[in-house]
Amino acid sequence: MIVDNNVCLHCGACIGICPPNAMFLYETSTIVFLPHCTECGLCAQVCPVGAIDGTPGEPTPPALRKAGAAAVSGSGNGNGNGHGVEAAP
Amino acid sequence: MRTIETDVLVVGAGPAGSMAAKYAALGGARTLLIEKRQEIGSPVRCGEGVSRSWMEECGVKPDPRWIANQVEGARIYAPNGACMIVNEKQAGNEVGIVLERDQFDKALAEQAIKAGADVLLKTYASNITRSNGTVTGITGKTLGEDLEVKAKVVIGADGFESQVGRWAGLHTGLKTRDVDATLQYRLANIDCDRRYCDFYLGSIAPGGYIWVFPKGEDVANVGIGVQLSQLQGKADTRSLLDRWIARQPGLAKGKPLDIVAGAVSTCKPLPKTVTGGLMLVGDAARLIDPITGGGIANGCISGKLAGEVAAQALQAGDVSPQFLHKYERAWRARMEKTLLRNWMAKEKLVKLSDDVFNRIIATLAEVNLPHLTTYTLLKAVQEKHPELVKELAELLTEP
Repeated sequence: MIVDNNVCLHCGACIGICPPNAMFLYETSTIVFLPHCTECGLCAQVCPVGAIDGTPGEPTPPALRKAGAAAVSGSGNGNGNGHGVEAAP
Repeated sequence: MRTIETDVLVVGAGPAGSMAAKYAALGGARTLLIEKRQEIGSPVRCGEGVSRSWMEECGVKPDPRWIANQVEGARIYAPNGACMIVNEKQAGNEVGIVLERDQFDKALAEQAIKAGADVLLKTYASNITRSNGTVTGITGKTLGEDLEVKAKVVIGADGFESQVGRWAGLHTGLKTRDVDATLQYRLANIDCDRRYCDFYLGSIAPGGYIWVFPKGEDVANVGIGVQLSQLQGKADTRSLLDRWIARQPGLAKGKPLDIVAGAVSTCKPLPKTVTGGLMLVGDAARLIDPITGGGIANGCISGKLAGEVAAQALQAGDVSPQFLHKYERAWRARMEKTLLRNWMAKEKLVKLSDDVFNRIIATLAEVNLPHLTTYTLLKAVQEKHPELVKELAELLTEP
């Protein structure tokens, strides 16, 4: 699962329900720690604005992972952006 | 690396966190309140409707600075458009104020500051620290700098997305039928009646409701809550709200001033909100009312109780789970019965068809109940249409 930070309102809905606690909300970016993600799809289901991509039950495709990592790195979250790298495989 | 030592650390400066910090500081504890955002109260994540009944208990005086509108009552609409009006007296002061939530949160944080609490903004926790199973603080960042806070007591007020409790091993996970996804626009240039907060029930918002809370003559918060288990496609929540607004002549012409998203828990009370060195308050402790989705009142009350117990624990030099359990007993005594009853009622309400909603509202619109509670409501329905409340028998015992 990948968060599109261009759509995301950083409301925290996905984070509160993520069963493996694989998500984190920074001030202006929301990310998935992919190594912890079980691809259950609940985050995409709860997202009120449809900011989360990925098919429930299927591993996130490498292309999407790369796009997600780039989106986080480019979002200017001011946190050193180390997590963009962490979010990628 | 910056290291701070304090008595009480409160994570999150929403209403519950500010109340916790205020009462911990008033009790004589060195208190630090940290907030991830650069501004307390912003961005707003709330419908902003709140009752007045709990405010005195928490030392909160209604203030024009954070009151956008005072309503006379609520109107509850059936799917067929029939409506019942609930005035404030009937609801036991349960309807009342539409907030300027950003100002409200700042006013509560001011109370904490005046009581002596310290505040750090743009500061987040990324993990807890523990020693022998007791929570001893957090690690995180403050304005980009690595931060460690060593605290004798940590209060997790980090909202629906609470991490602090999960890091400490408290089970705050939710079932999909105990979560509502929410979305709201503040719409300008609409027709609304500022005397009422409006609630729309039925399949327009499966397992939840749509609200229109007027902020003024022609501006209102128009939002939706939908039960997670009833959402399927991507952005269903937004589609349901957009489609409904488009069908309302008085609202469809409106344009948004802001968009607010979120989620609320509608679960029964958690079995455990305390562990060694840590207490959870407000939304983080899942203390949201399962029927209304409102979290401010219980957040403030639980924050106050946790702040008081934190200060007492420090004076006693005992932050063991046994001592902090005093907080858990206190919030349970204050609100557990209502939360549990409302959770049970919610479990029934989410299954009702539009037809049944129509008949219930029609019945209630005819009778004028002096005091509205879940019990009196159901009793009134039972007298006319016993078949409608057959399944709700367990809620029909005198409270």
